[in-house]
Amino acid sequence: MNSSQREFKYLFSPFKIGNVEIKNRMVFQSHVPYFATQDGYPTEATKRYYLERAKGGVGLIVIESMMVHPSGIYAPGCMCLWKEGIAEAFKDFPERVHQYGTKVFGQLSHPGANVFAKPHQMASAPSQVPDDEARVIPKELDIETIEEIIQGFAQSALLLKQTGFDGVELKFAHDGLLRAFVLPNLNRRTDKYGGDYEGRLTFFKELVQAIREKVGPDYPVGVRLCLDQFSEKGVTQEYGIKLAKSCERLGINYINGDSGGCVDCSMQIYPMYLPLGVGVYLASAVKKAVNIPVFACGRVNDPVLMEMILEEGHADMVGSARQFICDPETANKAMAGELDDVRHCIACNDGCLFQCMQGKPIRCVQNPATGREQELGIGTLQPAEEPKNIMVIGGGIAGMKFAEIAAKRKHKVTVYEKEEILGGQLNIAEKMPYRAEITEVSRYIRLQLDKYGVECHTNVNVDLGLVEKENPDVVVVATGSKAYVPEIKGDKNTRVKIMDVRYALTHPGEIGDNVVVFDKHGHIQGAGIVELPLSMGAKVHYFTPYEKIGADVDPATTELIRKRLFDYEDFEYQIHYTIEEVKENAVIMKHCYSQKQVVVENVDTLIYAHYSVSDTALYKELKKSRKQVYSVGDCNAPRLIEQTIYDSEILAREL
Amino acid sequence: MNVVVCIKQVPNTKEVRIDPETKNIVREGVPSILNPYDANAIEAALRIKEENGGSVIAISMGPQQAAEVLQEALNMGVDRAILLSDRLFAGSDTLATGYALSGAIKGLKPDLILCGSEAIDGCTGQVGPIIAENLGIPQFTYVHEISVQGNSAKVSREVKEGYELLSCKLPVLACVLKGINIPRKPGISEKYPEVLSAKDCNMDAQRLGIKGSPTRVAHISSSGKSISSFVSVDGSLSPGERIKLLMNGGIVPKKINFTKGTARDLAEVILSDSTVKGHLHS
Repeated sequence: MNSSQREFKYLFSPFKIGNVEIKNRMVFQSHVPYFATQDGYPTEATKRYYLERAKGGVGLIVIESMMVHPSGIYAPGCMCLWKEGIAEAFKDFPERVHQYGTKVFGQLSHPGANVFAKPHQMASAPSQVPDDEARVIPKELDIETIEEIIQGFAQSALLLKQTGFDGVELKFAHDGLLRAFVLPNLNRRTDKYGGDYEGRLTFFKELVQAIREKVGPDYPVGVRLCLDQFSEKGVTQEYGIKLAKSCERLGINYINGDSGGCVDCSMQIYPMYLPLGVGVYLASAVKKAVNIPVFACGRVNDPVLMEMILEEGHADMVGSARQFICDPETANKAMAGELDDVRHCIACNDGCLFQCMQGKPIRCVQNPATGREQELGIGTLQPAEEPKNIMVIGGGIAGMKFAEIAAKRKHKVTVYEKEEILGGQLNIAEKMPYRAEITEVSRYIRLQLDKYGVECHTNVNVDLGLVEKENPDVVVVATGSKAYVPEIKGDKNTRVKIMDVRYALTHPGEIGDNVVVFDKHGHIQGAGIVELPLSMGAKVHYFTPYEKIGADVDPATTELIRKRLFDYEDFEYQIHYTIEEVKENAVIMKHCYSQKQVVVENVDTLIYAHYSVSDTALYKELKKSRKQVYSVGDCNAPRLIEQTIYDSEILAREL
Repeated sequence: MNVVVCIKQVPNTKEVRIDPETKNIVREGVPSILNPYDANAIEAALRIKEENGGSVIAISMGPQQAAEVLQEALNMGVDRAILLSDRLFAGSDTLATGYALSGAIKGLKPDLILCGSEAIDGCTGQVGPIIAENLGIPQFTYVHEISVQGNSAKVSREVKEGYELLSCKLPVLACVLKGINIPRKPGISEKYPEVLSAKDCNMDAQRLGIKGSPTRVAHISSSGKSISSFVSVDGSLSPGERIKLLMNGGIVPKKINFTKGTARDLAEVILSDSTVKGHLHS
């Protein structure tokens, strides 16, 4: 059976939660994309961000965590439902989502001690206990404020109902006040809100009751529930199931599975280092324990994977945030049988998590339209007024992406690549341990090139002669960059083999047994290469001038990299060091502040993660003799996938 | 060179159900396909014909609907296709089926008979060997390579620790594995399958159908395990262990000894390792 003929028995069957029928089983999961104003109102960008996903066919959207009381705000840029005029600001929104047949719930949350703003004004929690998840000492809530917060939840639920939202979801999840109240180490109260399990559940019970009084018995009220916090003191799998049963008993309409922590979010926003569908087993265990609908999530990036989850009975609905960020049209494409056109999230966390952790608007490495829905979103690509003959030199990501967009605009595009296959640096990057999924970026574009009739010539070195012969209307140079290792004192007279990361990845057999990795790069190059020699039995000594391994990598990915690396006995790690000199078989490092030197003896290999340099030779030559010559990607300046893709998308839309 | 290929129409096992009363496979309403192994057998037959000349005949036993897979064989390029279809065949087990097929094949005077290693519905792998026994000719199972030179066949069989290379005088019967080749895409054929009855082949009615089938399915039960395609870890392990296991896809990775060196050095290391040695044929 060919993939496009696959039938979806479950994924596109409607499903009812409370009195609301959802057209399919896909859920765009709640997350804060930071499009709201600093004082907590939705913007047109907020609405467009969600509408794009509705347009793409997802069945249910759960709008980001919204705050219900002034005592709890995660960070500026989170929406606050007590603010004056907030209902007005939301007024047309649910209706606009409904136009696409999509239902919309709103998530209600109180962060408790888990506030993101640093430094925060004041956080509040059941008890004044430092939360492992927060590095925050909160104020102990008094009874009056607790009652106000409960009313805040109830009022907010009513407001959403009156504004046209189809349901609400309460964030129990991996952080926040609801979670803090039920955990014995965070709730040490002696009043009715503390004590044994039932006592600690009082806050939640009163809250659910207050909401029900406002919204009525049929209005969907779900819970986003952490099913394993993967920490010593947090929610365990067993406790998660216990809480799920309590939710069922209290009349909650569904359990939306979640996991991990808040500050260390590596088990919440699972990076590429974890397998696809990693969180499904947690939801599956809850599904066996309760009779209310269960949502599964956790690296679910493909319609067939979603169908498998439903088919095997692990859950009733399947959620993902990142897949719909990466490809808002996942549902529509699957429904049309165009499975090869689905662009899969690779869980790199570079654009989404990394940005949002800094309180910045969300982005996506593969989807430049994320956060730019109006300019680049669904339906904005128009055919070129005057189709041109375009020659693209270089079949890496930059050249490929340009070719894809230009061809979709009906230009006639030909790509020339000097290597045997398209993909450029990704074909090297995928050799890094646990990073193989990165070639999804090129797989998707390659299939688009086939679909839109882009002629691709591989094993061709383009020179001036070939350009003159083909004589296209436009030349786009995407010749990329070259790895670069700067001069080091003593590098002419050493037996230490000095190599850049690209070389190390493509020549693993040349890596020795005693390796120094010097990470001047800061992104995944340096942090990601370390496990390669370690896995081959070598001893690795890692140095970086920065404050941590993978200084510019998202926190979830670096957390897992550290978890892996420190599992090897032969791994050493030192920060704030720069390279000083190489001796015959030693490497001398110097501390950035104390200037003290460390000599690493018996080194046979030095892997130097450094910036790359643009390869502009052909571009400069062509510029001399031709008019329409452009450059994209690393040829402009060596950068990450996201910037490269954005460059190419914009140029291809302008030509 | 006269090659006969035995093929079977099977329900697409992804969609199959078992009748709880009769314990038989419910074929109604389930899409039927050519048994995947049999497509490899057809391909192997066509390649042998292309090298040695001669003809390929595909044969199948089943209801009229089974003509579909014979048409597929014709479309792939076989010269003739024969459907054995008769009420007398209904309810045949592997013994009766093997008898019926051998009765029809006898008259075709084959030099080589090819079967798929097993059918994906019953997975017994018995019919091929039963045909060979009925015809009194040599048989090879688990064949992953086969070629014919003059009057003999050379086969490579997959066995537990490697491959068995054998040669044998024709006629022989071989049951082939999927890895033997990649079947070609069917084209268009102007030929149609011929239909033969039990009478046409002069068969003993007592050895056909339910009468000729001693096999009784006593009981079928599910293994009780719910199927999951997803990783899972035991919640009672420490958080660190849970995370580590998840990163490794739910398995504990084996400790690997790395040895570096030239091909000669490495060969010596491998040969001196007693655990490796046991797996090598002298």
